[in-house]
Amino acid sequence: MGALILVRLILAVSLLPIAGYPWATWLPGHAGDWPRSVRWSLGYLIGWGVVTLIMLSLALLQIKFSVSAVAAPTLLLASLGWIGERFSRGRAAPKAIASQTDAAPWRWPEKSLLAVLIFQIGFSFAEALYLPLHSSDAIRTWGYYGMAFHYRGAISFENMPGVHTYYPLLVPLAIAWVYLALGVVNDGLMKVLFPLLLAAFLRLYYHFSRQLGASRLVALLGTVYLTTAGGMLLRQSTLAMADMPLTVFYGLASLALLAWMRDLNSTHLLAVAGIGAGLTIWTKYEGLAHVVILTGVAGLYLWLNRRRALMTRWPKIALAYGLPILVGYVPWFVFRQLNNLSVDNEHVNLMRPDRLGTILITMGSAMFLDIVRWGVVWLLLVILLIMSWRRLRQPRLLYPSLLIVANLAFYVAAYLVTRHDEIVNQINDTIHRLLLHILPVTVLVITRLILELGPSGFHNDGQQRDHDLNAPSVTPQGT
Amino acid sequence: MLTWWEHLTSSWGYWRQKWLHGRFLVLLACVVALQVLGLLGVQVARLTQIVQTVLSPDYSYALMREQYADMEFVDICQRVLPEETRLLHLIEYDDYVKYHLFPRYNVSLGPQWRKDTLIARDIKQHAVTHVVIWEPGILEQSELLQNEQLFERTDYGKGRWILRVTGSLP
Repeated sequence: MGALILVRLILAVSLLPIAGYPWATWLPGHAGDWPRSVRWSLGYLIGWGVVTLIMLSLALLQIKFSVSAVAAPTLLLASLGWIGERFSRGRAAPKAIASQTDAAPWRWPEKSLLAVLIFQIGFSFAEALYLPLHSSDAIRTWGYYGMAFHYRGAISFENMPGVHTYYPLLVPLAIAWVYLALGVVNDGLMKVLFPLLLAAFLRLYYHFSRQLGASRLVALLGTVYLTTAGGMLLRQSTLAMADMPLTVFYGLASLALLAWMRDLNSTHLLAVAGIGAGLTIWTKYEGLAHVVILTGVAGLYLWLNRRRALMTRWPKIALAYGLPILVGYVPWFVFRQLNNLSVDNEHVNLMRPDRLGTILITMGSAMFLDIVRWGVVWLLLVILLIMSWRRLRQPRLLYPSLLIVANLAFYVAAYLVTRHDEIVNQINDTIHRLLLHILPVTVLVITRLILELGPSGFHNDGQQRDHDLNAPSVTPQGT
Repeated sequence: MLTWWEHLTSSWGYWRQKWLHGRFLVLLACVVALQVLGLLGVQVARLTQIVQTVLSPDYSYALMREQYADMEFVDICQRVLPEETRLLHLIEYDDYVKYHLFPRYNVSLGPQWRKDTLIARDIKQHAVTHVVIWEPGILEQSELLQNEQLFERTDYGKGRWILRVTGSLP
């Protein structure tokens, strides 16, 4: 029984990267030249989307969930991806020149940081598998939906009073898939999905940090700091809630889009950003607002700095970035319309400007005084921004910082219109999870500010110290 | 030739610059490193605790002792629950029972279903074997839990009950 269920678990989890890997490799441009571990990591993230969207399609077609009903179309799609990837391999762009630091042997500080990362991932696995579902939201929302869909073999909210039927279903469907493959509801084992997501994202975060110009040491420092800037990310990776996947997908979208803004020819980065954005929308209700903000910041940059490029390339941009977003949004929208699952107005009321002071004070306390959750990350951000305020007009610092500020402004606006009367309690209940969504970008900005203030050796080899955001980049390989 | 004032301000500017971009950064790095090391230390301690609990000859009760402050509660559970009942839960809300234990019954237990209530599960079958109630009034709120065909009840006084599942539950 024990061995069999473990085999089933491995097969269930393996389907996700198998579903996503061909698409991660077969992105337009030279994503195929990325290290294999990066492509598998990206494939795992894409696999979440592929498998859950196939389950949503089954529900739309009123086909009952079963292992074969989910796995067969997933594997078929993956095969098409493999064929496409093999077919297009001959036409792939030549490999970019590897930077010198990647060929250099790893030094002890880098090895130590890698060891810390391995420890963090191991900790996440141990904490996740140690206990079954125990967090309230994981039990009553995400885990509950997942279990109900598994038992019923369909997306059905019948006899489920008090549930939010308009919530996007990526996480519950992923949970339902694991239960389906296990043949039993085992919430302890199911949670393995989430530490794996953390591991994959850390690999991608390091990769994109290198793409954005950090040296190996600084990229590793940033990645380690992402997991140690308070306990939020690691803790959330053990709970089976939607906030951690949202953080991962939004982090991926943001990093890839910022990397693309440095080199508008890198269509594969734009496609990765689109995939991340589509997954963000498909993960949680507020994902749509996050994506609108991200797209708005990128649009502002293009309009102010690269208007000509925007005018000439907009069809390509719309296709590479917009198509994955539509794939992430439209099926769920259609399903909701067909099943009359309307969005209620539980979150929205009239604007209450009198709350602004309370909101700012409560948010500030949560950000700067909750050392257990956040360490000193927000304080560090503010200090570094003040220290480098003269340089903030440079696009490479301005737009990532703007992304953080715009998201924080969105949170303030959301609290201004929320229906909940106990605003302080409401903020304390939700703000930490909302802040988590922008943690990857925040750590990225901190890394960039340190690059500005620190010695030049922190920069990636081959990068100009004072390059602009639109300067062509050297794509590091073998990272 | 600089005047004394120019010399002073120039010197101040130099030191200010150096302090800002040198020593302050080092100070900042020390604070961050301290915070990171503190967090890693806490995690090492937690991981050690997890490993010790998992390797403990009586895993389920090691887990209980870790989670529950009420040792009387732990002792009674240890005496009453069978050894094969391995996995135990602290219930913070009614949701666990409502949504997790009885999803097919569509049961609402009311808002008073709170902490100090345990669900015991057989780790091999992953099936619920016991419900431990440690708060007065909980049992009375639920018709389902009072169903004698599903549960065999043992009264421990002061509103404390242990229910053994005898019927068919998911």
